[in-house]
Amino acid sequence: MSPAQIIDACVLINLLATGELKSILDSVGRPSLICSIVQEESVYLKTGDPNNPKELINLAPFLNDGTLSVCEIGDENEELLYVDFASVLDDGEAMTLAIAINRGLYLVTDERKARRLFSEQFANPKRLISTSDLIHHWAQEKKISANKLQKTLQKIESRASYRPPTTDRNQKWWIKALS
Amino acid sequence: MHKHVLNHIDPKTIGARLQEARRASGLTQHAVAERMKMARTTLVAIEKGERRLTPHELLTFAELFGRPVSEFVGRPSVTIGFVPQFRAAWRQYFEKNADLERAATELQSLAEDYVELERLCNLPIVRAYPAPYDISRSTPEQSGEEIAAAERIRLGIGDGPLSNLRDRLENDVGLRIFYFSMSAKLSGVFAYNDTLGGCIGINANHPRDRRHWSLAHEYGHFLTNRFRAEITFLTSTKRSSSVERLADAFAENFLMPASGLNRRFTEMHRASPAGSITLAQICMLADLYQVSVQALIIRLEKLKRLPVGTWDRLSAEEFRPRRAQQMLGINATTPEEYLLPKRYLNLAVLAYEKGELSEGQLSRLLRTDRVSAREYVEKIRTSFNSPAETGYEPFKLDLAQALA
Repeated sequence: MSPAQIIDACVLINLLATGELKSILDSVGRPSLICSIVQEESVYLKTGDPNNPKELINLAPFLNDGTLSVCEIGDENEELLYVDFASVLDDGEAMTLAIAINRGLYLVTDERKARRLFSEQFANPKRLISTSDLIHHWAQEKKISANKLQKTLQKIESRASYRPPTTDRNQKWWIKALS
Repeated sequence: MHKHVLNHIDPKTIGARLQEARRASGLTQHAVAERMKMARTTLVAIEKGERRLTPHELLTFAELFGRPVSEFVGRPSVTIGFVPQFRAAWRQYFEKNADLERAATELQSLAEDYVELERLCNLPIVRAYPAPYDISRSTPEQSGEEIAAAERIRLGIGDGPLSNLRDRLENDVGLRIFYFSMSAKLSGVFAYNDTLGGCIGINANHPRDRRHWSLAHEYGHFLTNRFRAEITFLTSTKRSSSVERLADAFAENFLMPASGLNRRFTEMHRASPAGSITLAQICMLADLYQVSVQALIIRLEKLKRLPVGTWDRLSAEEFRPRRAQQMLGINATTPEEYLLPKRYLNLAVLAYEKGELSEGQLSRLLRTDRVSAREYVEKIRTSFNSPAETGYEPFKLDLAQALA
């Protein structure tokens, strides 16, 4: 079985914004983890309503139906990596990265610093996945219509204020799908 | 990034931070040692920096104190924190009031973050601090007046209203000024050390005029006795000392200099068909100077432009300044637009764009959630990029480049 993937908060927010989290993660075909600190981090999305501009997202339904599982720091080596990464990242990013490296998991993050540390220092860059990789894969795997894909990407932009940078390998595809 | 970072950080730095975190959480050494299953002497050695921590111990401490691990290993080393300064100067208040500890800790935390951003961007703040003024030969009131006049001249700001006081003090003096939520009875806090410089925290929950006054008041502390950490209460306490009287006199004279105020008052008199000054005009003048109606009337009484007792009379007649301001369309309750200094915000975005900060670190530094942090970055990007561009480009503007 393919190793699990561990998702950092920056990507989780984007996936939650789509309203298609379960469908997107199901299309990948491997278990999806988040670390306990990311679970505790309050995730807000924009609503577009000026009277109530932000909405706090509840992760419980996705944890209850098994779409996501929570993991904790494990052995001494993970503790060591976690503390080292916490000197240059925030706690959620550091814990996610430490677990990904120590357990040989796929790392799902858009975070430049975390991606750099993952690919430069320790691990296999092929196990590095971004928001756009997941959406691109989902669109192909589930044969998502152009109209639905456009609406999904619009939601990521409007609710999570995210658009991939020009350095992202799927950026041109993303812009085209949006237009 | 250092591998095995705990072997590279000065154990005294981590020890001091752990001690600060323990005190802030209200736990004794005995209680913590018991929870950590270690001897109290071991904990004492860790706090003193005489024994290095293991990663497991650090994670357990962080969990126990409810603090992020990154707070202990991801921040610059500051040898002297503000909190001990506040505790030394305000011991009896600290013991009774946890709000003071919170305000002192937040000021320290914000100032450290600011210095770290400057380090990441290689853009240290420019300090134009005057030498501390001699206050030994005059009364506090005289000193406050003299220093206010001298500072107005030093900063080249004439004798008019100071609507941009914060910008002046941040840019022309090099102070670090933060607005954050404090208990209602606290107006502001001030502290200084050589590493962090002069730092002022203002209660963001107070109305505009009070915030303006508090800022000038704290600046008065900086100018006269910068090595003593100060806390200002909304209402004067038994400890309303000569230091506080001086800072108030400074604020009054700095915000409402006699020459400028007298001139405006005379002009208003001259322009008035009936030759009188109305309460509405006073309210408008207070708005112009961004001081409370009460502060302006008392100032005009002292300058003998209004009869002594005018404010007492209006109070007895149940005059409500806020109501009067509403009737005149004056909004003196607007919240501070920027809780953090604009320069701090711009440095944070610059460091993020340079890849020096992660998104999680950025949102922590901006004291907001991730999506709001993204929005802020986008706002700054938009102001640098032409609207026709699709997608975003990293900043091409190198603010750290040498031009001279």
